[in-house]
Amino acid sequence: MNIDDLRSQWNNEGEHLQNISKNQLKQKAAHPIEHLKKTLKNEYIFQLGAIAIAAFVPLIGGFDLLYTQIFYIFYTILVLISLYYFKGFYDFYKRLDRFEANTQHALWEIYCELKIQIERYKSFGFLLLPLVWIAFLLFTLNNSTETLSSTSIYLYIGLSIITSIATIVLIVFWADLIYGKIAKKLYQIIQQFED
Amino acid sequence: MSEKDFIFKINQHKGILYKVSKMYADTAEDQEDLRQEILVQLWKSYPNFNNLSQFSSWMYRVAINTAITYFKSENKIIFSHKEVELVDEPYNSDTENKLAIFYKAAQELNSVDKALIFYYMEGLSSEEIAAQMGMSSGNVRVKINRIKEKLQEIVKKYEY
Repeated sequence: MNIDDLRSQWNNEGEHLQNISKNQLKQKAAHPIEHLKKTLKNEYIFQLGAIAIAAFVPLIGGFDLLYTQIFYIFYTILVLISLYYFKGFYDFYKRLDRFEANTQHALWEIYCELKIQIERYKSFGFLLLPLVWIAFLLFTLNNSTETLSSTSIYLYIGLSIITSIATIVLIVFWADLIYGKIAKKLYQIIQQFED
Repeated sequence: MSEKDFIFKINQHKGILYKVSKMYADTAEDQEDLRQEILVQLWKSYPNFNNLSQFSSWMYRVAINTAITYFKSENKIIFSHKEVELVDEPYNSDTENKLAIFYKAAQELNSVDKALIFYYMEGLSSEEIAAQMGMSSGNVRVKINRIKEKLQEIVKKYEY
């Protein structure tokens, strides 16, 4: 079969297709990149909500004035760190729509941005851990009627380490599950340019 | 840059939508889904179309980039000349039958090779294809020759 002989028929392909109507422009996209954007948006909203609820921890925990003040110092640090990361997430979200570049460039751009985003997501999760420990410690101290025994301190440290390791594993697993798959597929396509 | 202008231009070039969907999707249902995805991406990208290039060149890039990143679960495609469906073709001439075989064989190419052979069939020069794909024109020429050989092998393998 000589594919050059098919040119004439190829040029007529699609003529029988119905004309596009404006209703079709309003249909929702199901593209994997759109799905990624939707996941990002939902996570963004969830994290914002979690940070907003965290502001009420002293109220819910019945913290003393001193512990409340200490809590809000660390909460302010949490908010500032979060603003930095959310700005990065938002910029990435907006850049995901760029399909007009030449193909190799478009693929590399999405792939590199996604890899940076995955690492940024993980580091944001890891950064929150010390703040969670502090909140838990303040809660414990606030509800103790006497000085913590060394057993309690070791227990606290032990629990913190175990929950931290579990949280880190969960964050890495989650980031790779949600975002890593697309990054892998993009890289496989990029490799095809080199074959 | 109105909706009306956009629809007019898309309908002038609707063949691109059809051919890209046939290259990148095997079943009629998947082709329809892919055409819809490409259309939505074109409409979303339209505000960024700055008239510095031809509308068709811009449409090619968005369509191909959308199709290439439209990952579906990888099902093994079983090629057999008996399975070539011509249900959406209005005629059944020998040339159209060969074109159907071509589409079927193209399903066995990787995503980048599909884009290259698509552009080749569209009549773009090596330099134009290189600009669209972000490759060198030399690389494009070598790859297209290999793809043509590969397609011949695929068709022979299934004894068309």
